[in-house]
Amino acid sequence: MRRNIEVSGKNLEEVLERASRYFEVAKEELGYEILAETRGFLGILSPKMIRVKVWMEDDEENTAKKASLPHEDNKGRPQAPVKKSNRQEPRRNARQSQPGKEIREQKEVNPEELSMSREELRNFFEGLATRMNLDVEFHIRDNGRKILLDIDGKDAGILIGKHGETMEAIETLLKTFLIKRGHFGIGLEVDISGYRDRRIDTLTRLAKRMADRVVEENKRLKLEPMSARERRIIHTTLKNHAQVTTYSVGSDPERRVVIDLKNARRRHKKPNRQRRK
Amino acid sequence: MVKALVDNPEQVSVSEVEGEQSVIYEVRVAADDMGKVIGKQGRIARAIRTIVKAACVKGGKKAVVEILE
Repeated sequence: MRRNIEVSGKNLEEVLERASRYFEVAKEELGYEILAETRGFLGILSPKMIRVKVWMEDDEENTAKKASLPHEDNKGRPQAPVKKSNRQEPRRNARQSQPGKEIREQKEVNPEELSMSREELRNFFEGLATRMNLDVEFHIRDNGRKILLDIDGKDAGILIGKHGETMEAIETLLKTFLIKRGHFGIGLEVDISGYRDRRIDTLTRLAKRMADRVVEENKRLKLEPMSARERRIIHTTLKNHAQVTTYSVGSDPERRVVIDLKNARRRHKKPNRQRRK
Repeated sequence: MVKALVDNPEQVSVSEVEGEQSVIYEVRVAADDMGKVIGKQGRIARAIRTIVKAACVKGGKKAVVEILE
């Protein structure tokens, strides 16, 4: 079976290296086809890009060859960028000091790769928004590790969806897109009209209110199903609470937080008490 | 949108079946790409459905997405 990915990078060498990491086979095992060579948006600022379709014939032979993957190769640094990219010099050290190889392990992502994936995301999302016929504005920035996509505008509400459902979906989709394009290890966070912060607020307040209720009524409470990220907010909010403890039950997407009293013994006590009477 | 996610974009086709209150989108992809479109535990498929649904809010119609081989 043939497996394809589309990878973009500065030059063919780099692209193939990235692809070989992805497929976990040696570069020599890969087939490729150059789809496009483009100059980035901002001329001087963004480097030339090349998009390549890379594939691997997925058979046992190749799996066996995985072993021969050069693990520690510092030999084949992508040195020579493809023709006529004569403004390589200003783009200094970044490349030499952190070869593309280690992107996955590194917390700091290669700035060039970041700006490249930002560009690709921009195009993709722009297309999506237009296709959806939505009146939104967005801007993309990054903090050195993650890409942050902020969306705003008249139709932002549609993109948030119920409890941020649509927003999460967009995030999932865009993340998949990034991986497909060969940008691994780049985080992405989508935010719409400051929804995330507001949601954190709401959840924090909810957590506290519910904790009070648990203490007051002396019974545990199950919250609504939430995403992992939202559950975490509840857990962290109540982590240092003197009287209650939290845990989760069920499985996604129905997993929900339970708030309970810290030493909740009443379940066993109750019948006893009744018997004594 | 789906095309960006698969290996064989030339084999992706989307057809619309429009009903009175709803639109059914049939997405056909190459057999090899099924997994890509559906994703782990249907995550990607779910994301696609949610987004398509959202897109239709404006048109005032319900949308159903079916993924076929």
